[in-house]
Amino acid sequence: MTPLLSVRNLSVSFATPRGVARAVDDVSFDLLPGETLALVGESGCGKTVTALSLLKLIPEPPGRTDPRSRVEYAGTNVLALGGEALRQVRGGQIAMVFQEPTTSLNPVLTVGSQIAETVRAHRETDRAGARERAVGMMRLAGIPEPEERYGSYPHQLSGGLKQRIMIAIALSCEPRILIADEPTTALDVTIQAQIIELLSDLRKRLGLAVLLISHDLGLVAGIADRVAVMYAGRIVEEATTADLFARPRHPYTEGLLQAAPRVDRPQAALAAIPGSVPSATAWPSGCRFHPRCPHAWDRCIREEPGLLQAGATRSSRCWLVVEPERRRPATTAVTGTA
Amino acid sequence: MNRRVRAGLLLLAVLFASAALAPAISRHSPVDQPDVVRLQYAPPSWNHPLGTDFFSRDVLSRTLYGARISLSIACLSVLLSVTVGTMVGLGAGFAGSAVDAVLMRLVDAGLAIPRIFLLLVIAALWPRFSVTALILVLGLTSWFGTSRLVRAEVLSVRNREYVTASRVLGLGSSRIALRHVLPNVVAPILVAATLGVGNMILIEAGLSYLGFGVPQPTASLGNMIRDGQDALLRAPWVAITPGVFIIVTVLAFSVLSDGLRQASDPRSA
Repeated sequence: MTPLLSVRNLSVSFATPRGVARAVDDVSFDLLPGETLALVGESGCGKTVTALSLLKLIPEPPGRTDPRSRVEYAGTNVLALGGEALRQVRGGQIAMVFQEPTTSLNPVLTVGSQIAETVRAHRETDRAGARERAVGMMRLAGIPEPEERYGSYPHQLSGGLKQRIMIAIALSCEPRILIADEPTTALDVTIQAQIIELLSDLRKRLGLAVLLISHDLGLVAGIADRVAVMYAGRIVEEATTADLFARPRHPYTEGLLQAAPRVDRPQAALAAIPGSVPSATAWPSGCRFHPRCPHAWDRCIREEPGLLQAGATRSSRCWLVVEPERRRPATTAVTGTA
Repeated sequence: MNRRVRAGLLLLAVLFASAALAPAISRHSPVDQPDVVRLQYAPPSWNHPLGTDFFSRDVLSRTLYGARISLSIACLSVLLSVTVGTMVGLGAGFAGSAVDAVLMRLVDAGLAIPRIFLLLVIAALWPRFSVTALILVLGLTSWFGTSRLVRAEVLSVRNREYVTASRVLGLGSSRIALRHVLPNVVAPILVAATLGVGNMILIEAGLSYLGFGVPQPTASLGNMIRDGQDALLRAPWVAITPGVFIIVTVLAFSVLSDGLRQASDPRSA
């Protein structure tokens, strides 16, 4: 299948007082039509910068997107677009939902007018038509009594309703791709479940491709078709969701899975990955995970592996793929103290 | 609405209404000189409730008509200055980098010149001001502070997530600036503008007092005080009446501005 969105060699760096931070380094991935691809990783690994740079939203300076980076959508490189063409892609073709619905809505405008405004930015329609479309989108997003809610201000709505409004805004111009950056992190657990259900329902109904940015493995396991794991500005493992959760091939992914609580196993102390994420201004030599990796040997320190094919549909940035005998038995990860 | 806003608005409503309804309140024309000999500096009486001036003109009429001129000049010039200041501040804050640097250095230069001297120089070069010219001069020399204020607010608002969100949704820059950023910086602009009107009344009065403002025989609060100072002991009503009007008006604007500031400050709500 031809990918809908094809990201190639995306590199984004930031000039900081402590040097150049290479937040995203040579990231490539494909998003197929109708699929949900999850981008997971811990805070500071470059997930959000990746998402923002897809729509040229990184402020430059201090940010800098490497000129070799390409974000191919429908045969054009989004990163080379500007002005009107870029405006049409944003919102019209690729839309985005943010983590915090409270700060993503303008406090002084009614929620309905914010939806209608987006509609009018992309379509030839009059005020009444935009309003009608906005109410329709609110209904689609599961907002009760959309006509009455149209004139509400953001502060009059709950967090869950506000996130529904954000989704309604994002989908109001029928984009083909939705980027959801931690769409449920700011919400209560019960509301999270509702929002996720809404997202997967809308995805099926509208045939959307979703790029889900998250650190919530439970959420990812539930709705993603494929998963790309990011660490230190790079994708370290990519696989279908089932494969990744059943047999992780990168030690970092293993660590992540062991660090997540599970209801299907007896309660035990959660494992932690030793050490902490290195600074983006000074990534370690060789494999960026080697200082924290239980299997690391001298090759890992000298030489960084590429994304090595580890099966028909998966790849892992780890030398263990080609030298599996180096894997140390029984050292899954250091067990944290309870 | 808090108490100060209400008190300020009420007081201003009375002042503006009395200026607007001047012909209904006073039967005399502000420029009529009925009897320059016998009615010169006449003390308050039934016919002239606030007395008359050197030319036997009715002080009440002149104050009310003068207030019309002074309030119009102050309000219109503040409107002009706030509009220019907001546009410059919004442009500088939103565009950033080079545009911002150039505009703000210009503002620095503008702020560095003492306003009253700037006005005196302009007045000296342009001897007879029409009221329109006065409004233009006052308005165009007083927007520097506003633009600073607006720029600072815009800088903090433009990095809010909803501004990024509106960019993601494909809205154009001018639309984002005018519809998403501007409404969120209105509160401090409103406070500054309200205070600015009071200030502008004082500046206009000062200019007129110095003889560079509203030309005679048109009455303005400032040139009335100038008229009255020659007879401050003999006929104190000529200067005191417009003086009191100025004080009350400026006070009302200050109270209103303070109330607005308080109302827009979430910490005191």
